[in-house]
Amino acid sequence: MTLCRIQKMMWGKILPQTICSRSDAVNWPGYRKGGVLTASRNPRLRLLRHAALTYGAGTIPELPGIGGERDGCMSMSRVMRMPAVATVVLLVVACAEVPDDPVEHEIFIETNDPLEPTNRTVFDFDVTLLDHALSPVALAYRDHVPGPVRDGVSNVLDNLQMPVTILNSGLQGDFDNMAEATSSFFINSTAGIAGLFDIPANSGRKPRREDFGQTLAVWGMEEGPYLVLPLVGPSSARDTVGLGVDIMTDPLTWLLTPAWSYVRTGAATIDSTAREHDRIEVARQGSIDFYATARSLYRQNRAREIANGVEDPFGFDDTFEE
Amino acid sequence: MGRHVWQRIAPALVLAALLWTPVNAGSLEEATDFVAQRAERLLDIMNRPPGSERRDSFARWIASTVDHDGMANRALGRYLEVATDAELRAYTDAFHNYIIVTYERRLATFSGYKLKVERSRALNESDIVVRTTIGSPDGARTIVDFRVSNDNGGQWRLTDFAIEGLSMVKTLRDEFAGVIRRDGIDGLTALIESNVSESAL
Repeated sequence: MTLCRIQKMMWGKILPQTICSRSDAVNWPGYRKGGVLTASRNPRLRLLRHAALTYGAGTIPELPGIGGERDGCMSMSRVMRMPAVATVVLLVVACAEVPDDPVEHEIFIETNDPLEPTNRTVFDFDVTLLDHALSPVALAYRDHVPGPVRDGVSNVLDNLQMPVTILNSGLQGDFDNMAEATSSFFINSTAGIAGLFDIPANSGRKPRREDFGQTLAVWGMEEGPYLVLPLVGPSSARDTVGLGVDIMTDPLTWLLTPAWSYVRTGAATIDSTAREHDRIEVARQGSIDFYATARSLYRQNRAREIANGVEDPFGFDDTFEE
Repeated sequence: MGRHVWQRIAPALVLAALLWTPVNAGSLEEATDFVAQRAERLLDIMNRPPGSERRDSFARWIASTVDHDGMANRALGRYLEVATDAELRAYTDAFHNYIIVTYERRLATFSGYKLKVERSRALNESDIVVRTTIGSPDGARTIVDFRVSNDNGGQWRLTDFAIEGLSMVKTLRDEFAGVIRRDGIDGLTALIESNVSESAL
């Protein structure tokens, strides 16, 4: 079977069946070889094309003085373009073939990575960027900046993310974590000198980090297909939607100037790379297929975050053993 | 519920009680002791300088502690159903060498760590999960869950472990599935062998 079907796993029922490999694209209305979106009689595709051409092409005017991001990253117009750009990307990507063999088919469904060829390309790009740009800078930062200063930077960045945690803890009905995060935010923002010192953490109180991807999961939304996002890394359809909402609901998105947004993004990226570098290298050592390793680790870690750390790490064996 | 219903289900309940051998407190204690002793030994090995002596010690630790055949089978997941005996034998041998070479290097990152056993619980009728935390020299703590089961000879064996909720067998299964789909089980075996050869250099 050469058709790439993305049923249920894609955007709910908006696209009940998407045919997206280039070899299939020839026969698909609204698509021509080379991946260029053309006019279509299909109203859904017309709508998508309209959205892509309208918002993806950047016709939303820049809003002067308003920028920012979740970890600092983008101006308002870019934020608003994201869903449309993501749509265009999804329409031109290559997909994995759906196998006919029953065992293979079952594993394909479990793997839930219908966009694997494209994901691998983006993953290679992300890894190249990590190896040649981010890691050298992050390691220099780790080796030359004293530990207490790095801890202060990490604390400030964590504190800036706290409003998103407060909101999403509330949306999940986790009012204990919401109270904990609110208390941490106010104590650290004042007595902790703008978050430089994490005072509650010193007495063992640290709220769990929550985001809208986790909220959607708690509300019952399926994970959707695995995605690798440029510069961001492993994600899923649900977490990509969550990321967009996190950006929009982060107060700093609306308060920071673009310059400060870039500072925040850069600092967050270097800080997290410096902290995670060794773990990434350990996972990469001896890996048979690092892409698949990263996908598996991302999903397991995400399941654990959604379950607030109580996910049974060995639960995956139950279906197999039955 | 009427009396006749109880009369009908009572024999089934008695039979189930006779057949079901739950993990008892003694087993939990044995499993916990086994994990504490073997994990301490592992950390002791990882404190040694890298080289053939450490690798040999780790290989002996694997042989005496890990159910590597069972682990290899579970890492195949559903592909175990379609593997031939010859494929399985070659793969299992390669897998054994792979976990020695790869995990000796990966676990070496825990050199200098201290172990603390937290608690244990029954996962199912045969398996027990022992939760430990290992503390780094700078005070950071990592949760490590060890899954153990009693083999036919009454010996406890490690069947999986999870560091901060990330299972070794689950990760390997996900990693291997794509390679098998592309190149078959023999292709996976060849890739593992070449990986081991490169890593062992």
